[in-house]
Amino acid sequence: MTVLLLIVHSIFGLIVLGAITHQFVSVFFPTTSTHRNFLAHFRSVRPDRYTNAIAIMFLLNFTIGAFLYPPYRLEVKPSIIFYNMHLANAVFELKEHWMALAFGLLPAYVVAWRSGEGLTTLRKGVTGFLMFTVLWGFIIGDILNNIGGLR
Amino acid sequence: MTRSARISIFYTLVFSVVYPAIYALDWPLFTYYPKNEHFVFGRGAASVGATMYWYGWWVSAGIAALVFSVPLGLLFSGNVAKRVSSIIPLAAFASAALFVFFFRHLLFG
Repeated sequence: MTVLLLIVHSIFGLIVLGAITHQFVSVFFPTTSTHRNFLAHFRSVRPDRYTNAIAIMFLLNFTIGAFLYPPYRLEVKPSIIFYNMHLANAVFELKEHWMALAFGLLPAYVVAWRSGEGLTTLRKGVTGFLMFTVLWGFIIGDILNNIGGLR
Repeated sequence: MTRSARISIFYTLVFSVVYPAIYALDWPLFTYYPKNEHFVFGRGAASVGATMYWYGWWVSAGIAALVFSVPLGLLFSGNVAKRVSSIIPLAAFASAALFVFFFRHLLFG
């Protein structure tokens, strides 16, 4: 069951990362050229269309992560501490706390994209923060699983 | 700006500020012992076995954010919420940086 949840967690993480990357680049690097190459198409999506999908997928994946945390605490973390892998322990601690902060950011994220009030600073900031935390979570989760490995 | 939008903005702002504070003060609403799947209200003893405070920390922060954001959202106008919204990213990144500070000994030796 844990392995199945871990696979679903990875797939959902990849989906959120893909969606938030589209939104991030279209907000920070909007396409201005009429030259339609691959990157221009990647940047010229309608970012508001991704909002609900990102928020729902993030919540789902956050919940799955919360269920996977006890097996990590019992199986992986003790071996990381035993082998004095302080950096690995610390980067996972950062992942869990940054994810909690991203969870708290979701209400403002949805408002920023859906309210139509022109909350540009908020929109850019929360999208950037979500992009940063989702990318961090994806990479660190993968590395920690390679080190410890849930069974 | 709707009432729920104003509450959402204040909720996020309060959560971003309160979460690292609750972590630093070590105020989890409950403690979870994963080995025997047991919950204890408040901060449980670490000597009992593997202890998990993370759930308790973010539930504490979520409740605190709700308690503050509802009256703030009802009290202040959309213009105030709009102005407040621009400091949310700063608060979020500052809170994230605070956790780097909290774990500096593990991260940088």
